[in-house]
Amino acid sequence: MSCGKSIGGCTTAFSVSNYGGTTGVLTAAHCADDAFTNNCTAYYADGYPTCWLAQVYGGSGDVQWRWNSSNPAAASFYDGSSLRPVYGTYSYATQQVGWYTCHYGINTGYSCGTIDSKTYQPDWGGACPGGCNADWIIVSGTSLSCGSGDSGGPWFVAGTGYGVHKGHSGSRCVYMPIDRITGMWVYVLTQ
Amino acid sequence: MTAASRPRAVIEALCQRCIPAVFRLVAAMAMAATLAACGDQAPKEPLLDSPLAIHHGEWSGDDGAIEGRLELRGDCLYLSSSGGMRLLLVFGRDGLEWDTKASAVRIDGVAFRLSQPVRFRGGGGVNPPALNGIVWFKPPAAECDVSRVWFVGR
Repeated sequence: MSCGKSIGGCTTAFSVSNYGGTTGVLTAAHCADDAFTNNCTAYYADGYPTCWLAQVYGGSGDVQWRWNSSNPAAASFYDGSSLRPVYGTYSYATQQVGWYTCHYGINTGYSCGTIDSKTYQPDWGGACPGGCNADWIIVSGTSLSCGSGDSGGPWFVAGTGYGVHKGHSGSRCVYMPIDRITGMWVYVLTQ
Repeated sequence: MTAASRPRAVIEALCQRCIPAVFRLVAAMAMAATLAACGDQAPKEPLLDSPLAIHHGEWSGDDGAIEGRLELRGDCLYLSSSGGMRLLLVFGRDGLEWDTKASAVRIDGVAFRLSQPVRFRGGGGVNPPALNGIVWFKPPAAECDVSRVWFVGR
């Protein structure tokens, strides 16, 4: 399986592995209409049915990972024009306001902007179970676009993973920094 | 004080107490009548009589998407997703209408009718905890299955 493809009504971000060697794909937790049911047929990623394994869905996290038993995930993602290899990630602490960053989503495709804030607090209804913390990253840019179905998609620069797309506030886009996947005991597969 | 003036004094003493009370009673009746008249003229909030679950916050900004059909069961409006799940729909208030005659929910004037295929922006979750902390304009009816919800975006 490759990432950056459609999964249900959303997009996949990066390939991950747990410490037992099982590989899978990331997407947003709020995309899961079958979480906890072990329904392995509802959500297709890159044409393969996937099963829910775990998620982080709370004040600072909105991510899940899923797998397909017969198709290991590859250390690359689709960026709108080609499969892009992943060489590493930048944590929340490393990413800085003013940095340029890009994303891909199945609706709006590829676009880029600059980080406006690392302390954005999503406040729309149902944004985070119990309410969101002020530690989300929000991006703006004249050519930046995000829309319905982009959730779960990758944020990146070159071959470095930055985060997983969550949503929007006006014309700005919001993502969860990639290092919060450690709450699921997985890491991003790299080449 | 003469014997003749004594009854007058008694009456005056009584009236010092009763007249303000009478005035208060009349004023209260007038106010009640005014409020009742205002209540008849005040616009009713049709959303409160709708089967929609509505929160006070902004519409969902999550960029997920879901497809399915609207399904009305009792006082609860669900989306039966193409993935085979039934999710209770939760709406924002601004720009929302419920059209009883057409059995349709309108968002910014766009109608989504029962049993027809629809696609909604937003995000979903399993409850609890998905509904934790939600401030309601109109909460789901007690009979609704709130185990799976979808916060509708626009």
